[in-house]
Amino acid sequence: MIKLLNAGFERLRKSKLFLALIIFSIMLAIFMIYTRYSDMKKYEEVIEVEQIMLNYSTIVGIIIAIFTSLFLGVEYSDGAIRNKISVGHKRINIYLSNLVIVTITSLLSYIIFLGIDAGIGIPIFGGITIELSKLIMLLCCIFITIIAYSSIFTFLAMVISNKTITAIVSIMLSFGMMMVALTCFNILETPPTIQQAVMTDGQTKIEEAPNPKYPSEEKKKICKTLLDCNPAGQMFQIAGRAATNLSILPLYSMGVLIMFTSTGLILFSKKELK
Amino acid sequence: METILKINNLEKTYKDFKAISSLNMNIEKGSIYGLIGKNGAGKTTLIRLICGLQKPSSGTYSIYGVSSTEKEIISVRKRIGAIIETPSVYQEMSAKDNLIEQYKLVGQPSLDGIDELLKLVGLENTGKKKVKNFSLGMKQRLGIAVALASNPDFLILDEPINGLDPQGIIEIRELILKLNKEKRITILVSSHYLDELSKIATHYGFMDSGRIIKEISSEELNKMMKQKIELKVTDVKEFVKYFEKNKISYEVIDNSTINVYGNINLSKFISELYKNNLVAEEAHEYGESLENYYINLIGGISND
Repeated sequence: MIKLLNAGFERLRKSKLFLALIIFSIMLAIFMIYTRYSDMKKYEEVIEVEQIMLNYSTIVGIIIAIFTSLFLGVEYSDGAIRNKISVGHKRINIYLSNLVIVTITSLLSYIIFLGIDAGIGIPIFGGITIELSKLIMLLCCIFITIIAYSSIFTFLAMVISNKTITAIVSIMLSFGMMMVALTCFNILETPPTIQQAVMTDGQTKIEEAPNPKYPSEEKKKICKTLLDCNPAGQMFQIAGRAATNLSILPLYSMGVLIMFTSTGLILFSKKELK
Repeated sequence: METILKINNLEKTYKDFKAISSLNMNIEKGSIYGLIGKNGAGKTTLIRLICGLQKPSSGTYSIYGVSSTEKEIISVRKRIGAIIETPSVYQEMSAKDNLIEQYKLVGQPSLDGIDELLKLVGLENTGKKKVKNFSLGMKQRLGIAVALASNPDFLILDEPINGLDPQGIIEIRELILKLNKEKRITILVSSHYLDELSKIATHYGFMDSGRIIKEISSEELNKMMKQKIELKVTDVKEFVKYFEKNKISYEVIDNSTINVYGNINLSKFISELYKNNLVAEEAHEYGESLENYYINLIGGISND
């Protein structure tokens, strides 16, 4: 395992894709600060620097999907997986070492974003406005969800042997997870009543009436569960600071990690390689 | 002689298709084993099984005496270097970076041997040039260098000269011979380029329809390949009757020519025919090619 990690990090160090990811994280942080700074100047808005710190979480899934599918996809296209097996490495170790590398890289991308954000954002917008412990809690939840994301995309990259298909499936899935999360959000935020105009004695009155689209308790439960299980849903809740059950979200993430990694290990162990 | 690889009744089935069927094979230490077979004969599938990329449907193989059913088979593979179909090299890296990567992967304590290895395969002057810009021959040689990074004593090369130009073929041939003679590495090399294999192999395994149909040393094969007698005759039927009766391997070429195969003394054979009232108008002794031997073996047009 140590040898695999050594070789993996050596490749990562020389990878242009990794370099691109780091540059992207830096540029994104600068771009977000710049746009918020413009808003502050134009509209005299009060900018909370911690909100910028949390915002990357909403799109980090797409970034991890792209990085993982391209970085690990090469393992198949360049014959690295069969090389690792033929020189006597266990399949379980090959899978786990790739998961570790992808996870650390994804976390590093976020940490660099945070560093730039804090380094430039705090002097411009002022200090953090929420309790530090609360911010740390939110960031920890983001990091754990990043691990869950990494496990999903590592699973796809290790189970699908074709780099292009892996990239397409991973990117589509990352968008799909976001779409599901947004749909669930919309359903959960449906108001119980709506205003409607009623004609009484020739006069129009506005009355509150039950919303026919208001979801049933069962539907709400399903949407909430889908939102909590889904890493994109978790990220939206964390970034929006709307999570009512923040302490439970990491448990869902750990569930995703265990489920995808154990399934991935079983499938990869049985996979007939070419 | 120590046996490096021993295969017993190995089978590999994909749904309804039997890619490897009751295959038996032995590779002795120090040999260059030429695995010969047409496309689709099962050569690459066999190599995938040996390298652990796929699992056999039944049967076993052992490497250095460790059976494929034992857990230790994974660690025994550390003694093997392999190129399966295409070299396992990162296209976006240089030759040296690929070797650094491989050295770390196999846990070599230092990177000292890399320059020597690059020199061995003739890639010492490639600098920072990326592998994706290498010629096919250079990629193959780098693949061999990568396979040698763990100092293996058994090297598996699957179709190493496929697609190479004549110069590339010569380079790979010389490298294989060098590795076998100077570094004492046992080599399994699969190919359908029979003439090339005949220049390097010390042993042959002829493969057809997923089975090894004949294993033979190059010495034995050379003896056998010398024995082809072409007879010009007037009555082919009478000769065929005699050959069938005496179980002599032959091949009817046309209505006046028959080839006879086997370890035959020409003068004794002619006098024996004469005793049986069979007179050949002409008799010529030829050295048979490996190609002919292979075609006869797989039952192309021969009657054995």
